[in-house]
Amino acid sequence: MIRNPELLRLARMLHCHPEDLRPLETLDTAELLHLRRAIDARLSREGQAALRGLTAAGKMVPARLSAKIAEKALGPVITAEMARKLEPGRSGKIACHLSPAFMADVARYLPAEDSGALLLGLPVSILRVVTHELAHRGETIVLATLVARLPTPTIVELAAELNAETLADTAMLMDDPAPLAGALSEFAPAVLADAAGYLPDDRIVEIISGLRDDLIFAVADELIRSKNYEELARLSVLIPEASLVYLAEHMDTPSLSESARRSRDPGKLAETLAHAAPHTLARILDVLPEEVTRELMERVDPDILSEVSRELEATGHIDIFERLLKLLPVDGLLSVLSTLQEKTLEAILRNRETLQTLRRKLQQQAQQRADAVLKRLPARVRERLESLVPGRSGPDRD
Amino acid sequence: MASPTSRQDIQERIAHILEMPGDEFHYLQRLPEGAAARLAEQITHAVEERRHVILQALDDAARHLPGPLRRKLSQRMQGD
Repeated sequence: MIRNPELLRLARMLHCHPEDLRPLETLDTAELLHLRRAIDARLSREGQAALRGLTAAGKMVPARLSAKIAEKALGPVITAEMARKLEPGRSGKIACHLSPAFMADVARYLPAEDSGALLLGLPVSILRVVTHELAHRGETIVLATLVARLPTPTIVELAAELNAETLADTAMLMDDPAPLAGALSEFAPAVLADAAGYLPDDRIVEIISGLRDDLIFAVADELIRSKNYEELARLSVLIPEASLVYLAEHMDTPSLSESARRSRDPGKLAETLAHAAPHTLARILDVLPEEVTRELMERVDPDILSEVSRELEATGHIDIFERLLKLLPVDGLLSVLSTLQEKTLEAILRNRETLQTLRRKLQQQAQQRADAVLKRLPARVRERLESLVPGRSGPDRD
Repeated sequence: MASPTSRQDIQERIAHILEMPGDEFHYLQRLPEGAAARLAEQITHAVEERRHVILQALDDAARHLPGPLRRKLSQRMQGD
């Protein structure tokens, strides 16, 4: 399916199916824009003398009659062409007498570059009707063109006319979604949450960068309410780090667990969670998938880890340590152990399996350090030393 | 395989339809010859259709205008 806005506009101008223009995908946006403008200029010159006459005649009759002639006789192509030649105030007066369906037809033929000036001359009530009609028809490339040229307060007024799918399609087809992003606070979080499901990652990132945190959280709440953890997991790796940390701190534990379990990028999730407050980490460590916890343990600052340990100890979550000791790198492990009170340590090490894990890790680290030292020695000395160690034939052996 | 000459010809043809210098459309040479030829046809068709729509609209508009305005319009258009 063709999603390039310029190709869709070109297809509309040439009255062909967008798929017919697929070979033009090899052209870049600037080239497609040049081609479309050249065609638009040529079409606009066609019958220019006659249109000038019509436009002049149109100025001599009341707006209501002009609207009637436009709708009954001229049709949307000519009306759009004439609208470009009229001052916006006059266009606005005529537009007030046109039917919504005809206005939507005219909007289809307005070139992207001219539509802004014309639209700004229209009362918001008319724009709302046109938006409703275009949305109803699924004319999202026209909507995207219109919305891109409206100021944010006007888009806010039109919010009620766009459902989640239309909103997403419109956002998808805008060259720059910033004007729409500025108006998103007026949409219900449920609509935004639904719309996010229709948008690809890159566009969500562009839109989210313009959103306030409270709106991001409202959308997340909506996803939690509807148990849409797949989408929550997808958003969690797209939203800014600070927002995700805040979200993790305020999300209930089961929702966080479900979302983390579905994360497509455990590394990024762990990277972000590493900046969460110790009490949050202590709360969520038990519910994170092993992969995320392992990544998290490698990234979290040792001082924070010590605080997390104290928090777990204070809340009696000793059982979590058994899991953590398996996942922690040795440095982190030593940091945790040195923080704990003696009776907690005893409780942990009473578990035979935990004790063995701990011993194995410490042995591995000692071995790695010894190997690192051996590698720095001259080969002759190294061989000599290795021959003294029973069962070792080389420094790389585990 | 498309020859550069025929691609150049199509580029010139499109530029001619659009009443612009040919070298402004150099990028069209990257299109396959068949696609460029189809594009030329689509543009020609769009221009012809626009002409037809305008003539039809003028005809219809003249019938809807009040008598004095119709005469004024006719005079203006003849003046052009």
